[in-house]
Order: sequence, then C-alpha cells, then structure tokens
Amino acid sequence: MKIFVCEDEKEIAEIIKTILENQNHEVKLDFGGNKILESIMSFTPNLIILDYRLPNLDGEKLTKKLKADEKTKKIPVVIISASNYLEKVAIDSKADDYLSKPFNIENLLAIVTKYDSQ
Amino acid sequence: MDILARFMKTSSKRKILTDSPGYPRQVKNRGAKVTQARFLDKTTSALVDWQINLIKDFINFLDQPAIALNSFYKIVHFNNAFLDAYGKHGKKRDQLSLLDYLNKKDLESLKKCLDDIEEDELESCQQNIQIKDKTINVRLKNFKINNEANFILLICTEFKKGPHTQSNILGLVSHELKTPLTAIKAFGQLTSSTLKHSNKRATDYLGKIDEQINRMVGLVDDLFDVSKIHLGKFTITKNPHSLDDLVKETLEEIKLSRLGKHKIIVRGSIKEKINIDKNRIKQVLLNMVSNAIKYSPKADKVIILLKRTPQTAQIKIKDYGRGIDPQNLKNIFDQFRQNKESGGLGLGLYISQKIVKEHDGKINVTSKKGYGSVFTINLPLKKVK
Repeated sequence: MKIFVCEDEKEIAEIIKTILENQNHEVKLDFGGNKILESIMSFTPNLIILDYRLPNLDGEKLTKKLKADEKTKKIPVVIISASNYLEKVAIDSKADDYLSKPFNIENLLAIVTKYDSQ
Repeated sequence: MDILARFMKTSSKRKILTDSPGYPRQVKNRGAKVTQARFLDKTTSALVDWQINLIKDFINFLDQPAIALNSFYKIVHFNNAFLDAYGKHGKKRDQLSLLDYLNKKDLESLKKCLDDIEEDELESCQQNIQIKDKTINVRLKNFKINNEANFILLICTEFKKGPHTQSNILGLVSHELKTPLTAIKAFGQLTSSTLKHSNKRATDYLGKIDEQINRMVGLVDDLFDVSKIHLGKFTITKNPHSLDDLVKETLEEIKLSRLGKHKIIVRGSIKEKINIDKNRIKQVLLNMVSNAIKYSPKADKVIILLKRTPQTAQIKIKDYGRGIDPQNLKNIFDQFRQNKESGGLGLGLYISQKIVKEHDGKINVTSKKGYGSVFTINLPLKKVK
C-alpha cells in the first residue's frame, strides 16, 4: 500500500517509515512543507498519516481540504497527535481515524491493516 | 481564599449571644406580652438581618470583586471592587442581576455547582465562568439562613491572560514532553521486535522501559488535564456508548498494563447505551481499578458492580485492601493529595471527579479500615435513541 506520512518531528517520521516499510508498504515522508498538497497529489497514496500540529499548516484544515476535494476525498486520513482532545479533532475535521502519541507499534499497524483490506 | 473558609467556620460556629450586634433587644424587653410565636418570628427575622449584615460586612471587607445574590440571582449587595470591575453595565445599581453577566451555560453550571454543595454547610464550591471575554474563577457559598432567605455569596478571581500563567505553561510542557516519549517508546518497541526471542532478558528489560514510559505519559496527561481544568477549558464530548463494552475495554487495558495479579470480577450488567465521553469515562474506570489494585497488594481480587437504578447507571469498584483513614476520606478528591507510600502526583481522583461532574454524575467513596474501599460512580441515564 502507498502511505503518505506527514510528520514534522524527523525522528518520529523516520521510525514510522521504518515500521511501515518492514511491512512492505511504500512510504513517502513529508515534514510539513508548503507544497504538501502537490506532494500528496503526485504520490497518489492509499492512506495518509498526518500530524495535526504542523509548523506551516494546520492538520485539521488540511484534512478538511483533502476531504472537500473530489480527487482526494476518498483517501483515508489518520491523524496523529499528542493532544488529549484528538478524538474531537478527528471528528471535527472529518478524519477517518486517529492515533494518540505515544502510540504502540501494534496499534499503528492495526490501523494500517484496517485500511489496507478495504 | 483561606479567609472565606475561616469566615464560614466562625460564622457557623459562633454562638448567638443576647448582646450580639443586631440582636432584638426590644423583643426581650416586652416580656410576657409577646406571644411565643411572635417572639420566635421576631427573633428569626432579627437573626436573618444579623446574618445578612455579617455577609455584607464581609463583602465590603474583601479586596476581590464579591457580591451577594438572592435566590433569583439578583444582586442584593456588592463591594467597590465588583463595581470597578464589572459594574458599568448601563443599569442602575439596584437593578443589577447576575443574569446580565452570564451566558446560559455558565448559569446552569453555577446552579449545578451550588446544588452539589447544599448538603454540607461548611463547603463552598468553585467554578470558572466567562464574563466579558474573561475567564473568572468564582467561589460560591450558599447561605440558607431560614426557609425564606437564601443568599449566595460569590467571590471572583480573574485569570491573568498571557503565555506565562502556570496553567498555560503546564499545557505547553505536557504536549512537548510527549514528543520525545513517542520516539523512545517506538524505538524501544522496534528494538524489542527486532530481538524477538533471541535475547529474552533484553526484551524483558525493554518491556519494563515501555511500562515506565506509559507511567510517565500518564503523569503528563494528568498535568495536562489539570491545566485545562484550571483554565476552565476542560471539556467532554458525549456520544452513546454501552457501559458493558467500556468495562470490557478497560479490563483489556488493565490486563495489558500488567498492574497486579488480581482477578477482576464483573458483576451485573448495563446493556443500554448511555451518553458519555467514552475515553474520559474509561480514564475514570482505569484510575479506579488501578487504584484498587495498587492499594490492595495482599488481596487477590477487585470487584466491579454494574447496576441500573431508576435514574442512574451505577458502577461500584470494590477492593479488599487496607482501607482509607477516616481523616483522609474527606479530602480524597482534592488535587495534589499525594499518598506518601505509593507516590504519584495525587491528581487521578481529582480529575476523575471532574470528569464525572461534567457528566452530571456523582462519585463518592466509603471505606472501612482493614476491610477495603468502595468507590461508587453514578451517571445519569438519559434515553438514547
């Protein structure tokens, strides 16, 4: 599966990449730059994992944008954050799922598997 | 705020002497001509006046904005500090009402807060409300002087805005602390899965590191919650959920955390869905059950009782530990009330109580030294379609 991971903390981004590549997924990393939308469009992922606190872009707004665009609205978006109100954020921004930080590897894989089989 | 506690203590314990200010001398002098009933009436009304004056004096004496309200939330007395801070409302002084300052939601929460303390005369309660875009912490005390007069004393403390208040810093720090913890946890788990069965001792150690990270995350989360409570920004999101399922999920998490060897026995069942913030109620249950395990190291079981009463969904968590000292029982839900033996920040029960209150529910505890403790949570049942 093609997974787009957007996470500004490089260590965490790298480890998510390692975990997912160990499971034979194709991963593209983005650290939250200005051209993230173009980057998503050109990669055409099957799943997007998104940190909701990004330096240049609000993860909640980005999710709303993705869910409003015909080309991207069918791609599942999983938001990850250390926020204690993540469930509410996920519902408000219409994200498909959420994962609290710190996460267990098995929980990350369970979410990926869920969207892989769809 | 100690001053309010002291005032309440002395005013309720003070013996009313015949030479106290405001005592009805004229009643005493008229002697036998006055019937018993009239004497009682006059004494009562004089006592009411005396107590009202006492409250007014106290309000005048305070530096913080303070007011007295009647049972219709009309402001019957205020001090200069209140007038300076909130008085310019385009109304005459004698027409000021708290309703002019509050939105509906805050008013409801004030009423609820007053209802909760009604039973205990010495208790006051605190609540955060919004007045003119400012978050104000108000301390309330209900004075039921007799059946006719009902006064509410309200003292305001304004929160200072800006990035440097203690609670703001707590919120920021707790979020930032979790980022390195995320990396440590994930790298630890990755190392563990790389080693698998090749080095059992190393994977055991990594398991212990993971448990300690979870503990650290728990502490950081608690600090974050408390900072939200202090800022008046602690909110819950309710959705229909089954308590049976929630208890099941909680037990699975307890099992994963390898807290103790206790058998957790669930009795009873609440099948219907009720409106709750699932994660928050799970947080309460986790806190209750892990406390029950922690404080009963010699016992082998913890019991969870689920019962549907006509108005509430009731959850009881019973342990067979050493119980709680009676002197500690009254303040057990206070924040930073640490147990010296077991460590921790002493925030779990404080946050649990806040969560249950946000659900319009109640939480209480009974305990007998040497026999264990029972924590009871009552959540209101509102039918969910």
